[in-house]
Amino acid sequence: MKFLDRLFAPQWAGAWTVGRWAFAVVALLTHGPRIFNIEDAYASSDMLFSQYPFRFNDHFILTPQTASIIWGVGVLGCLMMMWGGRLAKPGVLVFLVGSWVLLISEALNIKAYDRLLTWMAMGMLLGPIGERGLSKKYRSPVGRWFMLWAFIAIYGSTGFHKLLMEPEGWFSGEIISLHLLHRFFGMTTLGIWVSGQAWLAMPLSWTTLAFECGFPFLIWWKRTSHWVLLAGTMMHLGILFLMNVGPFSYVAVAAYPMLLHPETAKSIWQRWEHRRHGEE
Amino acid sequence: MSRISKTTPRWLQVPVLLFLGALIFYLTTANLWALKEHKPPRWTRHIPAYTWYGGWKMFTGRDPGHSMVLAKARVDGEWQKVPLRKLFPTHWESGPRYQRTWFRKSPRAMKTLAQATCGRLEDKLDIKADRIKFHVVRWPKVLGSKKQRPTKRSQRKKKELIDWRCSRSHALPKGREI
Repeated sequence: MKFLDRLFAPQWAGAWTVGRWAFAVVALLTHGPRIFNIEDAYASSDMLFSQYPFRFNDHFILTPQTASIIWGVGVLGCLMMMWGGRLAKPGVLVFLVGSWVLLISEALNIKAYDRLLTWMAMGMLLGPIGERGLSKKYRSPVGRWFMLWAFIAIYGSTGFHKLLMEPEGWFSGEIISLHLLHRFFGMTTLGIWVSGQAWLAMPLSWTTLAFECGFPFLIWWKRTSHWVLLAGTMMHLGILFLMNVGPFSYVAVAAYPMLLHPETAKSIWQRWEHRRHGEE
Repeated sequence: MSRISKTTPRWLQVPVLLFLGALIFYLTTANLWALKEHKPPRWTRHIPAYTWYGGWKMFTGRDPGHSMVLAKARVDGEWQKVPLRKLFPTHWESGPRYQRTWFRKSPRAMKTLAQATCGRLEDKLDIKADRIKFHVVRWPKVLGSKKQRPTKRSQRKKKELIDWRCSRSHALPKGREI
């Protein structure tokens, strides 16, 4: 029982307030622009597909009107999360319903960031986001554990795949250079230049591997968690400037407040509070 | 426990640990392919959605070439290029739907696209085509270069994807026809 007491010891919960806001904003940024593609993508009458595992269009076919209403449901969910308090957790569910009905209606383009947002939403539901004044509270670590394992799977899986399957291409930096030239995901001015600079592509490739393979181990310790997340932020910023992967970078970074070791998060928060009150 | 400090109730702690154990089991099995397992476990192959939701594969493998799906339409006996971007404006980071590898490998998806192209050509551009052809062109990437178009004809590989008569009809989900 002492083991369980230690394991489930409450942790500082202030990071969930920051995380809730960050999640709501990135959810809105991801879901909001879908309104511009309602007729062509989410309620198309001719480009209609039924895709495993959902096969939504075998049962329901959205019209532009119903698709617009469902889009509005997703936006409402984001606003409920921003409002917080008792509306926060229902807001997560409302957002999931609104966004997923559109996604499975379009059927073909459920992106990595859509799945990542859903994993994060599940973590949000397990965390204490429905409470106010969390910066003064300590709560169960279960929500953070869930987030940690989801991100360990993401980074660890991609990192070890690179290391074990294509070691030469990743050590030389060639694979990263080739991805920077993808017709849609790549071809940014900076990315094209980097793809021709082996001396730069090589360390970029190594640091990506070091971060992704190191994350599953280093994220657990207080001493290393902030350094790992700083490296992750740098990697995602690099992706943001060198590639065009849509909202993936900022969706991933939105989870970082919850992944940060609670004690480190608390000291950062206190320093910020101290500075704010000092200025007043 | 005070209002300031609360945790999972004692009765729920063991079920929560079991749940986390199941989560770790799921994530591990969904991502086994990353640990030199080329194929996921046999029982997960019966449910492809199992690895789809929790499995992550992003920009990991070598991608040495470009590919582009193009279309032409026969109008009054003459073949002309189809402005696909005008007909299908929705664009994701991965490009339009029809540019994705698995899309062009799916005969069903290509038939839907071909028939939708016939209809949209008429509706949006007032062009009445009687036949549509789609093909894919592939060529190698050139590191460090803004000009990625193939310089030699021998570098281009062209493959026809579908040859479709607009008079045909095609069944969509829920019994719809176009």
